[in-house]
Amino acid sequence: MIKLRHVERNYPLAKGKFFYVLRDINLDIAEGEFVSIMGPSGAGKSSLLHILGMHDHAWTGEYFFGEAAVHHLKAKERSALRNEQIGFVFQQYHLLDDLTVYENLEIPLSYRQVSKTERAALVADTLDRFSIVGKKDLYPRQLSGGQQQLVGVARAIISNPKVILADEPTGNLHSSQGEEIMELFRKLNHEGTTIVQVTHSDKNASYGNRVIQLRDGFVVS
Amino acid sequence: MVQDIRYAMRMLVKSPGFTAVAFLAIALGIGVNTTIFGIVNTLLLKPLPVARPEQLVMVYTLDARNGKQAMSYPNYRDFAEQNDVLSGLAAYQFTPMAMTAGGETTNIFGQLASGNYFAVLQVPAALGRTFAPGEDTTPNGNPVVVLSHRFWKKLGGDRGIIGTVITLNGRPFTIIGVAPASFTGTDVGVAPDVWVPFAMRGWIAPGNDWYDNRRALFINAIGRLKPNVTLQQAEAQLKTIARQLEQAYPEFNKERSVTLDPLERAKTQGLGGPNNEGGVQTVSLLLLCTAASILLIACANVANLMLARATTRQREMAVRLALGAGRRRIIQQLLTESVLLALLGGIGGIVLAYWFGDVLLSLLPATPVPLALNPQPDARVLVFALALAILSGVIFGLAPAVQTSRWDLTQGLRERASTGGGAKRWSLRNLLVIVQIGGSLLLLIASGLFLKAFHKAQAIDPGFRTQNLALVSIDLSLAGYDPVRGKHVARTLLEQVRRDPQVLSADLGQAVPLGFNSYGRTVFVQGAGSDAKSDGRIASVSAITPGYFSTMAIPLLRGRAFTEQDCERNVPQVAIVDETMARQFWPGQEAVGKRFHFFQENWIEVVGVTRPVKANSLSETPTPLVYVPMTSSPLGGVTFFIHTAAAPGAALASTHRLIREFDNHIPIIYEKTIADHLAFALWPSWMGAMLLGSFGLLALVLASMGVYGVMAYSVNQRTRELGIRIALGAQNAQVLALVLRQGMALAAIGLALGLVLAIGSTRLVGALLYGVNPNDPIVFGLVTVLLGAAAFAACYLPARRALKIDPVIALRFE
Repeated sequence: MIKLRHVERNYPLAKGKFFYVLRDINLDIAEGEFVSIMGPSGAGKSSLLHILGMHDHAWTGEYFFGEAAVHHLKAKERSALRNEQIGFVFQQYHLLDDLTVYENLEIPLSYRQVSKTERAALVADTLDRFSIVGKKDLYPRQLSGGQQQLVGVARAIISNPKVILADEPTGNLHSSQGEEIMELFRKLNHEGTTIVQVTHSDKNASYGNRVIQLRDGFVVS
Repeated sequence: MVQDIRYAMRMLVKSPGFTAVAFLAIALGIGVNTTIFGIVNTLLLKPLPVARPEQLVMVYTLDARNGKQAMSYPNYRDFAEQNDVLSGLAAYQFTPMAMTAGGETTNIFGQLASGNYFAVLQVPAALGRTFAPGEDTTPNGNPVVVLSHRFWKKLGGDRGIIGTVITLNGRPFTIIGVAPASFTGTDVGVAPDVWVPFAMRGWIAPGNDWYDNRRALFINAIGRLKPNVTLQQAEAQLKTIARQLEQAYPEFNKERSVTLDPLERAKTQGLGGPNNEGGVQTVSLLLLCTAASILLIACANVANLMLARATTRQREMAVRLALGAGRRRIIQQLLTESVLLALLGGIGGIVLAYWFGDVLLSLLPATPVPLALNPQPDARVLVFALALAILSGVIFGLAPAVQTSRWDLTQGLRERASTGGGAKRWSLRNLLVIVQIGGSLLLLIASGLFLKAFHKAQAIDPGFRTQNLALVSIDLSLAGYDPVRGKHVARTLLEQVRRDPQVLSADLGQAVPLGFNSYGRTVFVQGAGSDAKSDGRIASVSAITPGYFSTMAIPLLRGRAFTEQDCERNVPQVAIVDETMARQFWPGQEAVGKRFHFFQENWIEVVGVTRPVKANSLSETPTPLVYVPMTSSPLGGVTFFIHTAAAPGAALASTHRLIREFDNHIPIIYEKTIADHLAFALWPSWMGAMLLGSFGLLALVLASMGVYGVMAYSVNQRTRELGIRIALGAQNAQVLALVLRQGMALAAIGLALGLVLAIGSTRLVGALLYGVNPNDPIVFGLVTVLLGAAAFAACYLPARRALKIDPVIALRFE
């Protein structure tokens, strides 16, 4: 489903030199996999995730998402593909502070031109599925970290993406909340969603079926 | 405090961009206010440079029908001699004079003044002396002159000038003194060149027999109250004398008394006349309010910038609080910064005010009367500017200072980026922008109304020819011609002017429409009642030659024009009246064939009725006007009205040459093409439109800066939120709309506020708008759209920047 060939990402330094955060990345992720990207800080994990999530375009190499050659797509086409296929979960949750839980869930749908009635139905379903109906009118600051991340995951899957990219999804949570989120990922994966997570935790990695190790921008295993 | 100042200076240097923008906004605001205050100070506030000005009063005739008027010379003499409430009663009269020097005669403007004029005002000479007590007693016996300081400078500024002779109206006058530089008479805005004693009136105003006429009101009288005498006590005694004069001379003084005004209040009458001192106050108040609005908008702008900047100093303030600084200390620190910034802006504003003053002076039109309007800042204006700067510093610094001092310490130390303002969505910053837009719209609407009024004034038909016409005014009496000889000379010159092949027609007139030389006389209509004299009303009078109406293209509606025979002496007197006079004096009747007379003169028959013309100003309500045949050279000069086949510039030059060749001593008072003359008449509305237009433009720029600043700050603050939205799939148009919606919502509220303010307040200036509706929907609509477009542009730039937010960076930002 995802195929990277010779992907490299660098940042320019002084005097025409470059600093490489990713080097010659070759990677295949099949549909339905639950992959964990691991490695020490600065290894390039988040950079790889942003390339997979099509937020970053300043890389070289080839990236195939299904049948689409992402490296040949224009910005608009990439954006459309991402909106259709990918959901994100962030370590800091990145919920919008001024929107209620309901409105936060509605946001990705509104960016996909989903009609208002359909949006209402989808949000209601998701609230129900994640058992957060009672919290729909609360603001993020009124929720615990675990609850916020739960909303973050709910927001990621609401538009029914084929892939969820999660950047240290339990990094800001205590262990029991973390387990709850990981169980949720496992469940989503069993339901057919491909999941790629960045993590430092072996325990979290054990929820998946494959680990990709990064060191100094190279895939080492 | 020294430490605060040192730190404040360091902070201003550290943020040069912020400092420059804030400095510019404050300097412009204070510059405009200082300039306007400088004008108001010159016109209204600065006390006259005389001793104890509070003791001086203006003594007016109070006419039962025509209100406050000047005084007759005989009555002035009686009041001066019979009262014991004034330590002195002085008199003066403005009069043109011809000065001959080096073979060239120029027109100057001076005052005939009573011998005690300088003594009553207690103005000593800067050089030489003022009038001695006996110098105003013998008719034409003491040809002495006191020069104004400015005129002395114009003559070379030689300190040895005292005792030398200058030629006025062809007669030698000895210069006895020079007035102080600060003294330019007692009429603000008008500066006489010289003062000559009244006793010399036979040389200065030859042929003027009004000095013996108790009916003729043309003398200005200034009294100095004796110590411990109030204005009311003095007025009571002068009224008693007025009653005695009414009984003694009932035919001249019937229903005439006196009234007193403090000279400080009456000093602006030169600009508006004795019944219009309030006009200057109204215009001054309008200008002051407008300038204050500009400063408030500028303050709101800087306050906004400071609020935005304060958030970037959250951590610094939190550290200060953590180290034990109290809220008061924090506020003091921040206020020191804002006041320092304002003082810098104030200094910049004062420099600008000097420049604005020069610009305004350069825009003053050339007038036959020398103007003295010096808006340059004096000590009072400088103190005002600095006080205003400090006040501005407190105004724009207080709210940000208080808000900053209220921050939560732990929150500040963590400096967590938020994705929005939460409950503070309608923050002080937004309110300031709304106020700025509202205020700017008000100013812009005022500008628009004044521009429309100017446009409309340009289109007003003055009722006479407005193209291919030249005007040349001369005063033959000043060159020593008596009225009969003067008429002969004027006619001879007229014939020569008519010989020019470029001249289609030329005629003489006494009054210059929309100019000068118009004077009023009391008209008594035949059969108006049993006591016809008490029914006298004032009409403007102008003597003309027979072809005047044709040359001036003024239609004769009924009856006939004058003939050459009408201009002879000892023929039955006839007159032509304008339709306003016909309607007011003979309502419902045909005026042609009716008779009237001026005070103590023979009956005059009306032989024609013309269409009214604008006599004094374009905005005037038509006033009665009577034309009489020019039987002699009129007082105050005569004007050649020359209708040319092409542009009238050449006719001006050739007429000037003709007059000079005929007699080099004849002063040419005024020479203009009709286009230049009308530009002079339009000057007040042009000036109003230009001033308010500039203010409006400034307000537009400041408001746009305000909106831009807030939106740029908002986009900066919302980087993370916008990054998340983009990461979640928001398209460019959606991000653009999000930012624009926020900015335009503020703009819409501000515009609505401005419209409400404008609807409520523009009526106050309705009288200055030449008949433009103060709530003119086109001006309101266009200006609202203009400001809305400017606000949109100011929002669009930050919104475009929002599109460039990189979600990868935005999400790492934390």
